[in-house]
Order: sequence, then C-alpha cells, then structure tokens
Amino acid sequence: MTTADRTTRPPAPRETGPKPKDDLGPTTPKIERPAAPNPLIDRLNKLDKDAAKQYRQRSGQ
Amino acid sequence: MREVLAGIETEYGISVAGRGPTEQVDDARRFVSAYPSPCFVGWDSRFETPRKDIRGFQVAHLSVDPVDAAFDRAPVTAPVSDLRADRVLANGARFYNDHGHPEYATPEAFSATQVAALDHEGERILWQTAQAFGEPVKLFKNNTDFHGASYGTHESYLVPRGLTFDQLFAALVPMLVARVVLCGAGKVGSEHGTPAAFQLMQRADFFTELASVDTLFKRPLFNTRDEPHANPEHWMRLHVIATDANRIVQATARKVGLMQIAVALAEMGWQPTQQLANPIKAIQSVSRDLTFSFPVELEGGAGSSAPRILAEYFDAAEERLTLTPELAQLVEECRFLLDALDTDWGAFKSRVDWAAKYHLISEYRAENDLDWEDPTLIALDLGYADLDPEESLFDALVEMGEVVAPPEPPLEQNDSRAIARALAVEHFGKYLSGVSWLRLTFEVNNRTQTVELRPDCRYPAHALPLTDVESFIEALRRIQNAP
Repeated sequence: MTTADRTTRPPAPRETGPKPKDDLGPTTPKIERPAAPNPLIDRLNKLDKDAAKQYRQRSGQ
Repeated sequence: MREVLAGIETEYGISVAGRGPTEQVDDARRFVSAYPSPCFVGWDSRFETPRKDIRGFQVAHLSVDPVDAAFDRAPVTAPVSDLRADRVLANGARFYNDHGHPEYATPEAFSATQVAALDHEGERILWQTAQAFGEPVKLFKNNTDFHGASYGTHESYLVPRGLTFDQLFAALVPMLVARVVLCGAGKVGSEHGTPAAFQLMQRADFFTELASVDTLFKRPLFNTRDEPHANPEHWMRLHVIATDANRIVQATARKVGLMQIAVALAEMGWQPTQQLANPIKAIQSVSRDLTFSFPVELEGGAGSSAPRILAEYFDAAEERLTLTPELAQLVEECRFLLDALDTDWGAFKSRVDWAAKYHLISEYRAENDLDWEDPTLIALDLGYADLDPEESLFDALVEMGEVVAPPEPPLEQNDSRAIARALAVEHFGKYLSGVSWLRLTFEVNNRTQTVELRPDCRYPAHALPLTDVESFIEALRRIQNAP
C-alpha cells in the first residue's frame, strides 16, 4: 500500500460497521509494480495489532 | 503587532513493558530521572498557585477524575520531594513527571516556528531518554489511550493583564474551535458521546467547560489558573487546553501562530462577528464532521462554518495588524490549505495531521475490509504517534514524502528569556539553587542572588557574558531593570 495511490479524499464513513461492498466505484487496472523498499508496508507488517487493547494510561491534564 | 511569547507543554504517553497505569506515576518518575544529558535538578515551585483562579477567586481543591484516582494505590519508590523528577534542560526547557506522564515544556519563544522547532526537539529528548532508560518502553506523542483517559498538550501565551476574560473569550474562542480543521491531530473512534468512526481532534471528547481552574476532570477549553510566570500587575498567562499533540512540525507552528494572531487582534479590541452559540458543542461537531463542511451554529441561531470563521480572522489580521513575515506567510499557507481541502487533497493531507492519519487509516481499512470499530485501526493511530523511529508510521510517511518533513530549524536564534535560563544551566549550574520560568536563584560567595527573567524582554545570547557568574547575573539584572 502506498497512500500516494489516492489523491482524492477518502469517502466519509456513512455509518460504523462493515465497509459496503457495492460503492467502490470504478476499479483501477491491476498494474504490477517493481518491488521497492516501502517503509510504510514494512512497519504495517510489524504493527502490533493488539497494541490498542493493551494501551492504558493515567488521566493527565 | 506585539510579538506574543508562547510555549507548549506535552504530556507523552508512556508504556513500560510489563507495567500498567497503577505503576505509571513511578515509571514516569524513573523515566525522567534517566535523562542522560546535563541538566539542573531543583525546580523552584514556591510561587505556583494551582488553585488560584485568574477571575479573582481561589478554589478549595481541584477536581480529580474518580476513575483515575483508583490507580493511586501503588507504592511509589521515591520520596515525595523527588516525585516529579523535575529537570531544567540545557535548552531552557522543563522536563518532569506530571501525574504519570513525562512532560516536556518547551522553552518560551516569540516565533511560532521556533516554538514548533523546540517542541520537535522534545521528541528527540524523549527518545534519547528512552535509550538511556534501560527498560523496554514505548512513548507516544498523543492525547488519549482510547479507553477514556486523556492527557494534555497545552499552549501558553503571554497576555496583558488589562484584557478582561470576556474580551479574550470573544476574540479567541471562535479561533480555538475553527483551527481544529487545520491543526487537529486526528483520532480513531470516540470516547464520550455519540459514536464516531474518526475525529479531527484527539481531545474534543473530553471538554465540558469553557473555562475552569481544573484540568484533570471537567476539562475546559481554557484553564484559568492564575500563574502568569511574570509580573502579575502587567501580565497573565493564557493557558489553552483545547489543543492536540501534533507530529507535523508545521502544524505545531500553525496552531501557535494562529493563536498569536488572535491574541494580537484581541489586544486591539477586535473580535469576530461570528460568535459561537455553544463552543463546546461546536468543537465536538467540527471534530466529528467527516463531510468536511464543518458547520457551526452562531449566537442568534444563524449558521456558519469553521472555514468561514477562519477567513474572518485572516481578513482582520491582514487589514489590522502589521504581521511579521512569519505570520503573514502563515496566513497565506492557511488560506491555501482551506482551498486545498476541497481542491487538492494530496497537498492538504501532507500538511495536516488529522488528514494524513485519516487517509492512511482509510486506505488500510479499505484494503483489509475492516470495520471502523476494528482495534487494528486504533493500533495504526498509536503507530502514528509512536516515537520509535524504526516503528513510527508517521516517520514512514515522512520518509516516503507523503507528509512534509520537519523544516530546517529557524536561522534566527531564540532570544526570549529561555536563553538566559539555558545559559545558566549550561554554564553556571554549580551556582544555581533554584530555577523557574520567572526566576533564577544563584548562590555566589555564600550570598543568595535572585534574578527575575522578564517575559517581554529579549535576552540575545551574544549580550550575556559567560566569563564569570557575577558578570552574567549583572547582565541579567540590567535587562530586568530596563524600562
């Protein structure tokens, strides 16, 4: 994933819940890209998906 | 226009491996104590008055969060006198344990760009301390744990005592609400009120009051604690609570510059015609509006929007103030961003934290077909705030050019009173017995000498002799006694 793939605003979430399958709009053709270092993908792959459940803090000011 | 002295305090999120909120006060104390570079230990808190309200009264006690208070059971491994682990750093900043959070308070500066650079330096200082800490620790520059606990970033501005609070509120509150569009740090979900998938502001859920002396509970947009850190006859400190911790350095400069403009306009007696019917409701609705139109209700029932309110400030600033080049450029950038919000999303999201985060998370969610409630999205939010350069999603976005890189530090050196504090710590630390925002106390030849640092004066480094402590003190006194 590179966030540069999209230069328009993401659509506003209509409601919380599963992402609708039928409003994706026209699909872009699949283009094979040369593998290049992508620090974002590297870090997303390493992301601790449970971090949010474990993260608790004291209230501050 | 008078250049408005400003500073930012940030309480960082901290998570030590195997520990939790019950031990957090002790962890933060031990963490700050691990700061590895030269500093002065001995913050002078004798003149702090947290219960005194700027509106002319004193409260008996400050409110506490009853949920949070339950964590106060754990023993702390330090004497009370060392609980804060207060340090004054060699750049003039204060670094200490504030209620379980390592807090970095920037040195004061007149320039918004300099305040932002000093705030960014705080991230480096926190990370440097993490390397010296000796235990696995995660640090987050954010303002929420996503479970109902919030911790602050605050801004302080030096304001003439002659301005009444009514004048200040009328001139500043619409700006505080409207600037969220250009300065919010962004957050997945909500912690109070109606559910939200994503918000522009990390802190919006937590405000219930317009102004209050409290900050831990029933949080206000403005804190009214009467601690001017200056001569109280002439000055007061405007303590802004309604702000987020930004990662984009230019966004930090933007929020400070916008408030400096609003304060300067207030000093001229100006206030926007667009006064909000309910500022708390407005900041929360702007934060949650993902249609990006940001409507607000004005007094009298008319409608407006955050961008229209900002435009009124920009017009007034350009018409009425002699803007510094820095602030003139800032107004121009803000006008560009408001336009880019509709016409050039790529440019907007590269300069505004909430947009960069929203874009990243929306893309990830779409590719992985996740609900907005999926906790993975909060993990991404935390990843954006993560200070670890190897793991931070924000740093990855900068590396890829998706988000603007921090600017080069300003060429002009800071010349606020913080420079005097910094030089005292760096060169005359062995003579210091107390340091605060306002005062330096030295012990020289068995004599105590206290010097006041005036917030309205300039302390250029080249004018402060470093040959010996007595010449240094004498130079500070000359500035103190200047008309």
